[in-house]
Order: sequence, then structure tokens, then C-alpha cells
Amino acid sequence: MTDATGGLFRRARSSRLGWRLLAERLSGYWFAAAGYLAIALFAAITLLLLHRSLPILSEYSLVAMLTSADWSPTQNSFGFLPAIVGTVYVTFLSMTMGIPIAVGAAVYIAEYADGRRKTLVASFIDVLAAIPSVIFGLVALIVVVPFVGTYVAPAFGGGTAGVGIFTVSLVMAIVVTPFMISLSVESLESLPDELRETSLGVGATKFETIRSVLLRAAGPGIFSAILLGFGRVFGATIVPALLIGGQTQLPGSVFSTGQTLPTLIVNDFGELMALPLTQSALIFVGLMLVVVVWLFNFGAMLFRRRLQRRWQY
Amino acid sequence: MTETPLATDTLSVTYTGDREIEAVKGVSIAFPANELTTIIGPSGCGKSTLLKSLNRLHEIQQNVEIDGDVLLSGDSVYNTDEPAPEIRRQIGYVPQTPTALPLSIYENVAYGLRIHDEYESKADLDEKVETYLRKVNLWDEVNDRLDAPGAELSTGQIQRLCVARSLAVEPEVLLCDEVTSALDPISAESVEETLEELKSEYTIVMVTHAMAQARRLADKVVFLYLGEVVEAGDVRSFFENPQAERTRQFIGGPTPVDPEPTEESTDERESSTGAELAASPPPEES
Repeated sequence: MTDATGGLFRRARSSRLGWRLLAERLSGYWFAAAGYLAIALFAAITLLLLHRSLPILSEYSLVAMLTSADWSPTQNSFGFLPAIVGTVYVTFLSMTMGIPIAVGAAVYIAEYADGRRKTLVASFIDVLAAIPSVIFGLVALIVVVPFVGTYVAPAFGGGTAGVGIFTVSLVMAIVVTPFMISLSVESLESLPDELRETSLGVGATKFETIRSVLLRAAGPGIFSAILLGFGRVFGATIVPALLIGGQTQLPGSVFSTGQTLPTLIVNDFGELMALPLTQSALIFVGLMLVVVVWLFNFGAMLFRRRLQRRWQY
Repeated sequence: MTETPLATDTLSVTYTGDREIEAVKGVSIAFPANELTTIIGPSGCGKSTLLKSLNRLHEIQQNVEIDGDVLLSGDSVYNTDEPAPEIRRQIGYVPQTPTALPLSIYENVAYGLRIHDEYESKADLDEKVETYLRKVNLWDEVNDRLDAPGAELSTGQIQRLCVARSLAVEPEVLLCDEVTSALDPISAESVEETLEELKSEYTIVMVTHAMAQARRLADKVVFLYLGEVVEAGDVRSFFENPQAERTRQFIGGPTPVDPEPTEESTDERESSTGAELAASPPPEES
């Protein structure tokens, strides 16, 4: 602080400085608060879900619920197995269909397409990524459902009206692929040209360069892209709700109808929420979703760091 | 006089992007066998473009047009049915930035050998990897950690690893693009020593902006300005008795007026500072 002997100039400067330092300190607090809010929110949501899941967890054993195939809340049977199996099927199938296409398209855009063609393809992929997934669900009801019912399922010996796990997987693959493409393209394009020159310079072909060098160097980024896709399929709600058929038995094949964890919540949300135990059971489903997604993200982060430290790209 | 392993025949390289730029203009030079030729010149003068067009490496960029030809032991590089990878195997390339492939130290050297299937057995491959690591004086530094990622090495070591990787496929010519400009002085010295040893065995073409380096290493100097060869000759006569006025200005006098910016100048941010340095009067030697 300035005292009476301080000059005019000095006082002016220090009061200006005081404001700047105050802004400095307050902005620091503000940024920190905004950052910690994310952690606080995650903790609050998880704790709330956990708290509301306690009634069902104290009533029934966890193992019994996870392994029972009988889901009839009105008779107080809470078996999650059909929904878990349905979720695993959908996730596995759509990733199996989506990953090869996503990586292929990303390599094409990043390494093969040039000039206008590249801009065209890349911008349409971004447009696809921006379309709300309910639109995909609607279009699929009109196009994919009859297609699967008439051609695909009979070809594999499955009788179905067209809705079911396979249809959901196919549509979810289409929904998440644009995201995975965009992110994979970014990680491929951020690689230095020297990597390409180095590999081509010893006489490698373009394909050898992509396979042995570029996909490896971009691995951590592509891996993140795939995980993002995984998270979206795992938590997908609207497309499965429209297309999975919503039966509560264990699915007999990939073409049968079924349910996923999110559709379980959506379908039974209405009147059944009035029953305290059912409400608690559905909230427990939500808890499972949060925990699995968190575990996957955490594991992915560790794995990615390992890769990055090893190859440093 | 031995056969010329590499020569250009009125080679022109034109970028045909938004603005047409002829980066290399009808250059005809011969690179003599088992000698080190440096290409010098201010940044943006087409040095790197010329170098990369020697083994068709510029083809990874779009909008590049080539006129004239490059002759590898008398055979055309451009008007030929020989696939580009096969040509690049014979003309090795070491980039400006030390670049480790995302592989182990061992696999970095074995990379080209595996691609071309140029080994009989695992023992043979081991032996070849050791041979080339020794050739670049890297074996003693890395033989206890061949399985470690190449990226863990220091930049100077990585640059020597790059040279080893290029040599492993037994090219006839080695192209080096400002291979020491991204290195600290000590690492740069180790790479220079390696090149010094290699030049009796290989035909080396090196782009550099460091005049002193050209004096130390080169047998022959080519001075490129605005895509044209201003002067080419033995290192002694080039530096001690330059013929062209432009050469005298470049190696001793004030900085030449910057040529009009080309597409390349954005790629050569690194070298622009180097060129300024190089354009300042070199310290008196002798």
C-alpha cells in the first residue's frame, strides 16, 4: 500500500496493479472452481445413484440379480441378465462392424484423398456425425428393419420381423462411425511427414507405410476414437429403444429382439417408477452404466499413456 | 573417372497449386561416385525440392510436376516402368528432423530389410542390424537395449539410427536433408563424423545451409539460387575462388536479397534462421 509520502505516479500505478492482481487471483479461483465442478458433479451423480440403489441392493443379492434372467418388476423379480447380454451383443456387434469401416475411411481421407475430394468426403462425414441419432432410428425403421427382416435374418436362418439386436447394432455402427472417423483422421494428420518420407525412403510402399508405421504411430489417437465410439454405443438409448423390440427374455440369437441397460430404464420408467423397489432397481441400472463407462475411460487413459510414452507420437 | 551414379538432366520441378511456382529450373548436375556433394543456397531456393525429386519422394505431395529426368547409373528415374519404391530403395533418404519409426531400435534398422525380405535367417538379420549400427557408430551406445523404443534415444542418436536404417537396404546413393540442423552442436558433430566416414563408400548428396559444414564435409559444392544452379565445383575452388558474383556475395558478402517466397519457404522455417547465419561472413580459416 502507498503511504502519504508516495508520489502521485506511484499511487496510480499501485492501485492499477492492485486491480490487476485482484483480477489475477479471482480468475484463478474461477477457473479452478469450473474445473473442480466436473469432479464434483461426477461424484454427486454417482453418490446419488448409489444411495438410491441401496434399497434393491439390501433386498436382493447382487450376484443373483446379475445372473437371473427373469425381469418382471411387478412380481418383484429383478434379473438384469437379459439387458446385460443385450448390451454386450449390441456393443460388440456394432464395434465389430464400425471399427474396420472407421479406420479404412480415416486412412482414405488422411492418406489417399486429395484436394477437393478430401474436403467433400470429410465434410459429409462431419455432417453425418451431427445428425441426431433419433433420425437414424427413424430412417432405420423404414429401411433397415424391413431389409434385415426380409433378407439378412433369413439368410442366417433367423426368423424375425426385422427389429432386434442385429438391427440396433447395424444402426449404431452407422451412428458412431463418423465420430470415430473424424478423430482418427485428426490423429493420422497430426503425424509428421518425416515418418512417411522415412518409410517411403527405404522403399516401402504406401500400404506398408500405413500398416507398419502410420497406424502404429497414430495408435493412441485411433484407440481413443474407438473408445469414444464404444462409450456412445454402450450408453445409446434412443436407437435401441426404437429398434430392439423390447422383450424381456434372454435373446436366443443376434436376430432376436431384446433389451439393453438403457432401454430397460426407458421402457419401465413411467408407472413402474411408483414402485419403490423397481425405482431402485432402475437406478441401479444407471449406476452400472456410469461405473462401466468410467472404468473403460480410466483404463483407456492408462493404456493410451503407456502407448504414447513408448512411441512418443 | 568412374561412372556417375546419379545425375539430373534439365530437371524442373513445378508446384501447380493455387499459384504456379517453378522451384527447380532445368538443373543438370552430376553427383560423382563416393563423394559427398552439398547443395547450398538461401532458404526457399529449391534445395529440398531438388533433393526430394531425386528419388521421387516429393510424390507424396500433390500438385507437383516434373520435367526433365534424373539418371540413376544412367537409367531413367522418371521415364521408367520401375515402381517408385524400388527406386527409393536404391536412393536412400534421411530427413531433416530426426525421425524414429514407432518401433524398437532393432526394428528401426531391420525395417527396410524386412520389407524387401533381404535376410536369410534371424541370425543373418541380427548380423546386418549390428553391421549397420556399427557403421554409424551407434552399436556401442545401444547394443544393450536394442528392444527399447527408437524414440528413447537422443536426437543425435536417432539421426544416426536414420542413417543406419537407410544404409541397411544398401542404396547406391544417400540423400541427406539438412541432417544436422535440428541437432545440438555435439550431436551434430557425431553425425558429421559418421558422414565423413561413410563418404568414401557411398555417394552422398547433402542439403545444408551451414557454410562451415559444407567446407568441412563436402568434396563438391552446388550453389542453388532461385531454382537454378549458379555455380558448382570442387569445395576448394568453390570457396577459395568463386567464379560467379552471386556466389561471392552468398559465401562472403552481405545477405542476398530474399528470393520471392515459394511454397517451400513455409516448409523451411527451421532453415531460414540458418540461412541468415550462413550468409554472414564465415570465420577466417587457415
